[in-house]
Amino acid sequence: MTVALGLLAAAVLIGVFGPMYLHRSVSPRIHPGSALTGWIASVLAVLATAAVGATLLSMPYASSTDGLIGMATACINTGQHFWETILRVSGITMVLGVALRTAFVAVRLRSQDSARRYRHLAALKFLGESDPGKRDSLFWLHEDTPVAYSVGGRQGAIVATTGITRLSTETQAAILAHERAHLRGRHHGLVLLVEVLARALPFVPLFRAAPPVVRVLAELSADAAAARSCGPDSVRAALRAVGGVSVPAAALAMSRQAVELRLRWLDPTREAPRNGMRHRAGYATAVLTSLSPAVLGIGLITGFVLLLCLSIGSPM
Amino acid sequence: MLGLGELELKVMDVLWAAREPLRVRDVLEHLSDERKLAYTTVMTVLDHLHTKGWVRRTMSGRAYHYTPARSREEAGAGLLREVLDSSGDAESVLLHFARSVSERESELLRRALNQSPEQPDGGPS
Repeated sequence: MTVALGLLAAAVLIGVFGPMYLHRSVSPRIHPGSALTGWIASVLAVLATAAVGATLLSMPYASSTDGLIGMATACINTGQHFWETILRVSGITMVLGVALRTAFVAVRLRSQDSARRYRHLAALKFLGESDPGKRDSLFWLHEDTPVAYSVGGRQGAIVATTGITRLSTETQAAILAHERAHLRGRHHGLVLLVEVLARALPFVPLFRAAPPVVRVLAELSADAAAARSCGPDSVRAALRAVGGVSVPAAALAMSRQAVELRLRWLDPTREAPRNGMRHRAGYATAVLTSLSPAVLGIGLITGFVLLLCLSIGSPM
Repeated sequence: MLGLGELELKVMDVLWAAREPLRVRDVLEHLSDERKLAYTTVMTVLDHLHTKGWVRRTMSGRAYHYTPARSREEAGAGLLREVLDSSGDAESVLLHFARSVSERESELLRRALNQSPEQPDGGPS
């Protein structure tokens, strides 16, 4: 019971207050990959703590009830278990409802997503030219506008227009490295996950806040990955070459502005060369930091219950 | 995508590869190495493609001769247009480079920059 309440408290703590402290991770001083990990870890932590907490709470104590008769006797005697049962049953109903709703939205969005992906890949097969011998599937579309994008899924694909080949070799490499980073980081799946939760459970502040942040951080961390392999200057050139050409005129100014904002994350004085170790350490720190409210929640509840028990149990 | 099914795309592929107008029979011949299709199936597909404006047809002798109304490149550009139009859309399954970031997403970045102390030009928000 104590652990269950602690877990639920942790879920509420992260779900409600998460956006407040997680928004600070969207900063040029924090690696966007770590920030993305922090957001996703927090989202998963809410799901996990709520699910485990609710499951534990829904299981009646083995000690306080010996079958239905024991429970009934207890109910008649004190009335306490009656309310407890009511609480449990309504709790279970609520959790089941939430889980079903989430599952429903997840299945719907996922099947829409894979249908669209399938149709898109089918069209690409006939309309694009693929590069044989490349590890990732890369499709070229004949089009002067320089654009690149990636299609997620088990067999992800990168699509680029022939307009890109007019850019310098370094710029091309940076653009493709950016898209490859999306595929390697499974960014499409992460965006889909937070999109599902935001639609199914919009009353959770963290879930409501997550989609735009995760999208932005996915872009920024793909930029950072491209900068690591091709240098920040190439990414800067790539963003300037591609940014803004691909949108309707009305949104052009906004898009240019967004590109300028993104460039600020590529400050060469900040982007120190990183090795794999430090990188992984950053992700581990992000996960641990985002899980700390869970530990705090469990700790608080356990401490509270312990104090309560001690004060009741101690002779006056 | 493009409002074309996979079979329609396969038929278009045959027409694009051909240098001359094709009859239903010719299209069927080029397709037959993959899957055995009925003559009427291919005829229906070509009829649909004609209705959708993807092919032109001229009566020659006793049969229609079909030619693509749009080139493969034009169809590719159409596909790309769909991708770009869907950017910033929650339904979009594609992530693209220099995607037009939504107003809310730009705001996130702007706020983040304003909060960091090394950016003096950020100004109060």
